[in-house]
Amino acid sequence: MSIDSRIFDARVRIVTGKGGTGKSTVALALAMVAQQAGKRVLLCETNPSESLARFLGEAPLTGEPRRLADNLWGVALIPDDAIREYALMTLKFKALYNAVFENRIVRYFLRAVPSLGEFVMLGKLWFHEQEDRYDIIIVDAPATGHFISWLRVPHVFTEMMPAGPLKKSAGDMLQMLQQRTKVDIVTLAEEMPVNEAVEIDHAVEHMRLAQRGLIVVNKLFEPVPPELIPALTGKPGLEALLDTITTREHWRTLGERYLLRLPADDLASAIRLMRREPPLLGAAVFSAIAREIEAQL
Amino acid sequence: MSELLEKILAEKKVVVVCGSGGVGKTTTSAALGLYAALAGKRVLVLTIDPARRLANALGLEEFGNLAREVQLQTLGVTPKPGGSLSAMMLDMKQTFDDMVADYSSGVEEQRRIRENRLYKSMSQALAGIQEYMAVAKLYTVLETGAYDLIVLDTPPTSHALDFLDAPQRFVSFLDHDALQWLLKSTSAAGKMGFRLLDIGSSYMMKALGKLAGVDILREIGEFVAGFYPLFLGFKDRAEKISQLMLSPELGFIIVCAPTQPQVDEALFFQRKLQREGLRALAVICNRVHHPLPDFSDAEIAAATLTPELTHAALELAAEHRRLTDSEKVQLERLRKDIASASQVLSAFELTEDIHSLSGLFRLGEQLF
Repeated sequence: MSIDSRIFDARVRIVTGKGGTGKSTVALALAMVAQQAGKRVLLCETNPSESLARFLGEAPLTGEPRRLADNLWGVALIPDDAIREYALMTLKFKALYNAVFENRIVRYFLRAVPSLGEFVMLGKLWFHEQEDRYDIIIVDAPATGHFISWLRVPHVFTEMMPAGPLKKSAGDMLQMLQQRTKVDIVTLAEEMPVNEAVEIDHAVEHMRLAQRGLIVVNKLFEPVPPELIPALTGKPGLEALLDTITTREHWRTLGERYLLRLPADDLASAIRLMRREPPLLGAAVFSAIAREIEAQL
Repeated sequence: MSELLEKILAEKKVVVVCGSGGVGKTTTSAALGLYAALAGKRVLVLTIDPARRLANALGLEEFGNLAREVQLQTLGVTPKPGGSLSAMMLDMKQTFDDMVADYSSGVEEQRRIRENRLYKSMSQALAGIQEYMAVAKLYTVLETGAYDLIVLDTPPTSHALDFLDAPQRFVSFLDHDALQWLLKSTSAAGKMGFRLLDIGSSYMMKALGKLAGVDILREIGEFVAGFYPLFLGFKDRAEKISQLMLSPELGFIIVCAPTQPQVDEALFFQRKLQREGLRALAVICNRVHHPLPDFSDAEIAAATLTPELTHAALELAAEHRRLTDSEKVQLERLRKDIASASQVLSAFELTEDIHSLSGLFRLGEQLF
C-alpha cells in the first residue's frame, strides 16, 4: 500500500452506516490498516453500549485514551464525560472545576443547553485532533439517524450562539469537519442500508457536514458457481439444499441491483468486504479484514 | 395465529416495538399493525425513526406528522368491520410547535416563544429532545381516541433506552430546585429585572461564564423563566406519559435477530424493562434461516456433479449448517434467559424483500 493511500487523505475519518451494517467492525479494521502502515492511530467510539475494545477481548474504553496495540489507542467519546473534560480543559484547574461543576445550579444550566452533549463529543474529537500524538483518528459514529443531527450541531451552534467560547469552539469544529474530515459510509447490499447510505452521502455533501470518504459494502456473499443450481435441480433428497442456495443467490443478485442506487463514482470505488462467519472476535480476525480492505485501497 | 400476539394486539392500546438496527423492527411494527387492522382494530403505526423506512414497507410515497390511511383493499383480504390502518412519521419540529400552541396562553405568546433563539434551536431536529417529542406525540394521538391500538416503532436500542427515560428526565428537570431558585430570582427582581449576572459577579458564575459564555447563560435563564407556564404544561404531559408507560394498557415487544450481539441486546433490554416495572410482552426473533434436513455427503456425490461442484455444494451445505446451528444456540439462549420461554417468537428470513402490503402480510403469517 502506498503512503498516499486513500485512507490517509484526511486526518479524521468518521465511519457511519445503518445499524447492523458492521460499522464498528469496519472502523476497527480501518484503524488496523492505518496502524499496520505505521501510523499512530486513535480509535474513538461514540456508543457506550457497542464496546469496540470488546472485539479485541479488551476492557471497555473510557474517556482516557488507552493503548490497545502498537500505535493504536482507543477512547470513548461519552457526552457526560466529555462535558466534564471540556470544562476541565477550559477552566484549567480541578479546584475551580469542582467549585463550578459540583454546583447543582450550574449542572442544571448545562443540561439545559440543547445538544451540549453531542457538541462536546465533537469538542473532544477536536481536542485529540489538535494533539500531536496521533497521525489519524478513526471514529465509530452513531448510526445514520442520529448521525446527521450530530454532525450538524456545530453549524447550529455557530448560528445560534452569541459570541463566546462555545461559538468559537463550534467554529473550530466546523473547520475540522469541513477541511480535515472524511465520512466513510458502511452499507450492505440490501435495500434499506443502501437507501440510508445514499441519504447520508447526499446530506454530507449538500449540508457540507464534512468531506465524502469511502463507501464500504460489507457482508457480501460469494457467488455460487453458475452451473451448481442447474446441476442440483431435480436431484432427489437435495431439494432443501437447492432452496437454500437459490435463496442465497436471489439475495445476492438483488443486492447487486440495490447497490446501483449508489452514485456511480461511489460504487466504482467502493470497498467490498465478504461475509464472515461469526464470531468476529480477536485481533487476528480484524487483521484479516484490514488486509481485505488494504488490498482494495 | 400465535395466541400470544393475538392476545397482545387484542388487549393493549399501545405496543412499543424496540430493538437494534437491521433486525426488521420497522417491518415487524407494520406487520403487527396490519394484522390488528385486519382483526377489526383502528390501528396507527407511528415511527420516530429519522430514517424513512416504514413508508417503503407500507407503499406510501411520503408521510409526516399527519396520519395517512393505508389502502388495505390492494391486499385482497377484507378487514373485519371497523378495521383500518394508518401510518405516521414523527415530525419533531411540528410536534414541538403543536405543544407550544396547546400550552401557551395566546397568539402573542406563541409568537414570542417561536422567535426566541433557543426555542428555534431546540425545536429543530436536534438529538436529545427527540425521545420526548416521540412520547409527547404518542400521548397526543392517544388522547384523540381515534385509534384502538397504536404501534410505536422506536429508534435502535441505545436510543430506545433514552426513550424510556425521557419523560422522567423531563419531569426531574422541571422539578429541580434550580428552577425554583431561578423563578424566585425572577419574581423578586420584577418582570424585566431578571439578570443572571447579578448573581454572576460571584466566582462560580464567572467561571461558568468563561466556560459557556455569559450571554448564553442569560438567554437560558430568560428562556426557562419566560416559558415557565409552558413548561408546566409540558411537565403535566410528561407525568401523564410516565403513568402511561406503566399502565397495563401499554407493553413492549423486543425485536432481534438470532446472532449473539442481537440476543445480548434483547436480553439487556428485557431486564431493563423489568427493572423499571414495564411490561416486556414478547421477543420476536427475525431472520432465522431454515435448517437443512440431514443428508449424507454420499447423496450430494450421487447427484453426479463434477468434483468442483460437489465440493462447492458440500461447502455451502456445511456453511449453512454452521449458520443454523449457531442460530439455534442463540434462540435457545434467548428462551432460557428470558422470563418465560413462551414470550419468544421467531420468524424465518424472508425469501423476498417487502415492498408491498402483501409482503407484510406474508411476514405476519409467519408470526401469527
